[in-house]
Amino acid sequence: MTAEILDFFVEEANELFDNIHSILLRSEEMGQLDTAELDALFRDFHTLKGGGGSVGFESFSRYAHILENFLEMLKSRHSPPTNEMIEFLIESTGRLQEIMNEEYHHTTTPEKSEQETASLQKKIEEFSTHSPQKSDEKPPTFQDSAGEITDLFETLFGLLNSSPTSAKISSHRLLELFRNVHTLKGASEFLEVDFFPIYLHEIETLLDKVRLKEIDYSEEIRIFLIDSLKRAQHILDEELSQSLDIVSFQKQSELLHKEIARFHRQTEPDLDILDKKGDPAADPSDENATLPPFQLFEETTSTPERSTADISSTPESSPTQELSKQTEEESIPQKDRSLSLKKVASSTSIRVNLDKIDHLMNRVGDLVITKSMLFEFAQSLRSEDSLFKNLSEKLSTLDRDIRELQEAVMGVRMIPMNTIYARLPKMVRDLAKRLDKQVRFEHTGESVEIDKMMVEGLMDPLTHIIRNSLDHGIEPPQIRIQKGKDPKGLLSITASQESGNIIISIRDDGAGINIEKVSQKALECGAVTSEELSRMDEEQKRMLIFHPGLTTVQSVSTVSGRGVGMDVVMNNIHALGGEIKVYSQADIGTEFQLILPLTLAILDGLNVQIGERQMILPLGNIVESLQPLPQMIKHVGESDKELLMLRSEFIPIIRLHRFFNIPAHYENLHEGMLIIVKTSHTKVALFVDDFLNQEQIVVKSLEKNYKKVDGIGAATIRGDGSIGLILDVMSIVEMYRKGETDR
Amino acid sequence: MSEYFIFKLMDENYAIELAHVKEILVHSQVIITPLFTEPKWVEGVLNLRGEVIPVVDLRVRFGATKPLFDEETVIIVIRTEEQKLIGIIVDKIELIHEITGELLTQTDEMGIGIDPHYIKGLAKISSSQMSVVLDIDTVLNIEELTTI
Repeated sequence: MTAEILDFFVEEANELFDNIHSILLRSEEMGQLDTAELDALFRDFHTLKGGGGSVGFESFSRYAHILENFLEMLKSRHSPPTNEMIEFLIESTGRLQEIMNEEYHHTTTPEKSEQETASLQKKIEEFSTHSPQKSDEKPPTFQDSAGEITDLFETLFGLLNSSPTSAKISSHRLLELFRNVHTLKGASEFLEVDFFPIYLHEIETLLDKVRLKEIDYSEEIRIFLIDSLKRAQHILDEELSQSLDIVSFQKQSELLHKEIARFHRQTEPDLDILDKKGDPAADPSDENATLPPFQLFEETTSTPERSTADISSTPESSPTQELSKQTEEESIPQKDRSLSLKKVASSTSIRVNLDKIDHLMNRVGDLVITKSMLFEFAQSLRSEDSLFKNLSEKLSTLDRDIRELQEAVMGVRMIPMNTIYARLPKMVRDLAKRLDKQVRFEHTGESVEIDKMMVEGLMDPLTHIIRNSLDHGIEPPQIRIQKGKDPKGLLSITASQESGNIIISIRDDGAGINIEKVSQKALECGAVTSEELSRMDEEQKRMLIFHPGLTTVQSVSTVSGRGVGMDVVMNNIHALGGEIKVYSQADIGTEFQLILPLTLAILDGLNVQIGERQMILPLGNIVESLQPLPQMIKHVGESDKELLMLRSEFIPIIRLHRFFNIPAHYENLHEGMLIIVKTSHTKVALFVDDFLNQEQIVVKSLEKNYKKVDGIGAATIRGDGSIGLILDVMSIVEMYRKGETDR
Repeated sequence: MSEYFIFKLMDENYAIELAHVKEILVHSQVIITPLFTEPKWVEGVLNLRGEVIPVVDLRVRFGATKPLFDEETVIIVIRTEEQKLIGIIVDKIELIHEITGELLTQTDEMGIGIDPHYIKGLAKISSSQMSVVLDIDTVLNIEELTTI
């Protein structure tokens, strides 16, 4: 099992889990789970079970199987599932997901998993003892089954095609083939088709015989299986479009049946090898072995009334017509298929590895560089007027095309906010439960697109903010009632795209941030001095909640309150090149606004000159820049620590050339430039020789082939093909502070 | 028994497995951007078709103070076991050579001034020449590379 397949499964399974959670949570809230939802859940668990089995997650597969059975039971109940049952499903699904992770990290033990499945089984039996059975099942939607069937066919063909062409096949792979055909047969039941399962049953029988070594696997069998499965696909297509010709089907089925019998004889030479007529009935031992399919086949032929009755329901094909039609058994009628399976199940998206997209980005980046070299070359032709003009025109067309290409490739990396939202409801529910709070969770802006690379970095801060809102924001129900509020609090997330930024806001209707309390705490833990505090406005005071080590809740709860969370939030958002704003009003609520760049891959930067070197400063960090007058520079005591006094504010100065150890053009601060940048808590002034042009740059990681570098956040490719370095303001400030305290 | 890539560092032969070598760049034809805050043997980073790859001067890494750069100085791009692409600066490419049989273990008398855990052994590459076989994955391990 390659790691790739494993990762692929886990990724897919996590999506399924997201889906399952969202159905269950909705139903928990609504207090009901309807048939369609049950069917969807059933299918998801079924897929999980199958997928888990195919990657060798046995405990996982067993656990999923039991839950699948439970859902089966729920489907056949007269009454809808009780809240208790839904609750049970939520808990077990969570556990199943954990089991998957354990299997992935090989931390499962057979004993533990046995115990767990047993207790799960027992719980389900408890439920089932007081659940009456009913028989009128409603099939799941056609489309979903069709999708599953298409997938199964693909898996089967994959298994057959990837197996080595020699006469060998592993028993594991055989079992997988057998299992998939079996599942396929089962899945087709929802489609209300009659002939397809019969045909599949024959194939299943063949596989079973191969599995039991009654028939030897050979290249011939492999090809035969592929052909038969293809024919099965046709049969299903025809049956769905109601164009199946029964006579032709019977012939095909008979042919399949005979072939299987022939294979069987080939393998067992002691059976009558001279019997070339291939009549299974002629050989008594053979007849015995192939009894089940034969019986089924007879059943079909003996009940033509039933089968034709189905077909006659469409006006275009009466039973007599069907039966009299003498088509060649191999040919497929070229009719218009009203309902082709492929059409229904075809999906409009594919999965692409991020590396491939990065690769594409790199190629486009190269193109941009080549283009700028061409531009430079064109400039050198200025003297030859007509040639230059001609070339410039064509180059600007190229420029536009490349720009569009770049945007299109960027677009591929974008995914809808939905993928983030999908994970939240479960978390909100679990937290609210633990905190004994009632909360309604809403989200809008599902379709707003966000850079896939940003999603990982965003999950943590979002989680922390939500925790914070639930823990510190929304009050317990009794208190809310006292305040005249709805006992059920409201937590909402919205996402929108505004002027090149993604804005995500998390709002609660809780108590609001108590500025007095926050200020008090900040003073106590030494985050600010009382003098500093007195100069702060309300907004600045609110921002104190992001200070490391600050928490206002009296007791440290398991949810939040250790004062690490909000600090992390600020750092993560800054690392993504974003910003946070906080709005709050007592007893009305709090809103956290995250302002993020559209993408991590492109950034607006300012070129700064440091000695002979040029580096890039992200524009997002810059507050202002100025050439200081000598009297604006203050020295602190004996040390070489310099401060810039700007509008009664003291801002520490960091000389970038000293930081990087590059000889500078200017030693006197008033000869160069100071660029004031801000990080989460402070402002600093960076001293550079000069600042140059501003440009949009494609961000490249240094960590991919190297590691994190002090003071440098990332790199980019410059017009001449060399690497440009992007300054990491946060790391520079941190290093500077460390250097200060070390002294 | 596999193919080795032989190169010169300060007049000494060194060998690495050919399978590690991704490509060769001529030092004088590429632009290397220095990183300033890194150890002195990390020469900087260069652009290899859109990838940012670090360049390590193996001569400095192994103790040379003023290495010479000329037309023969090349950068060998290596794919390490950490799946990183790293360029190493060497004085000169020698040849590709098949090394058969056991590697000789290094003895103190040979006096190679390199930490022994960077060396897999010694191999004879001709009747008169020996080569140090480097454990390039260990040499280019990021942690090894950045601890002074």
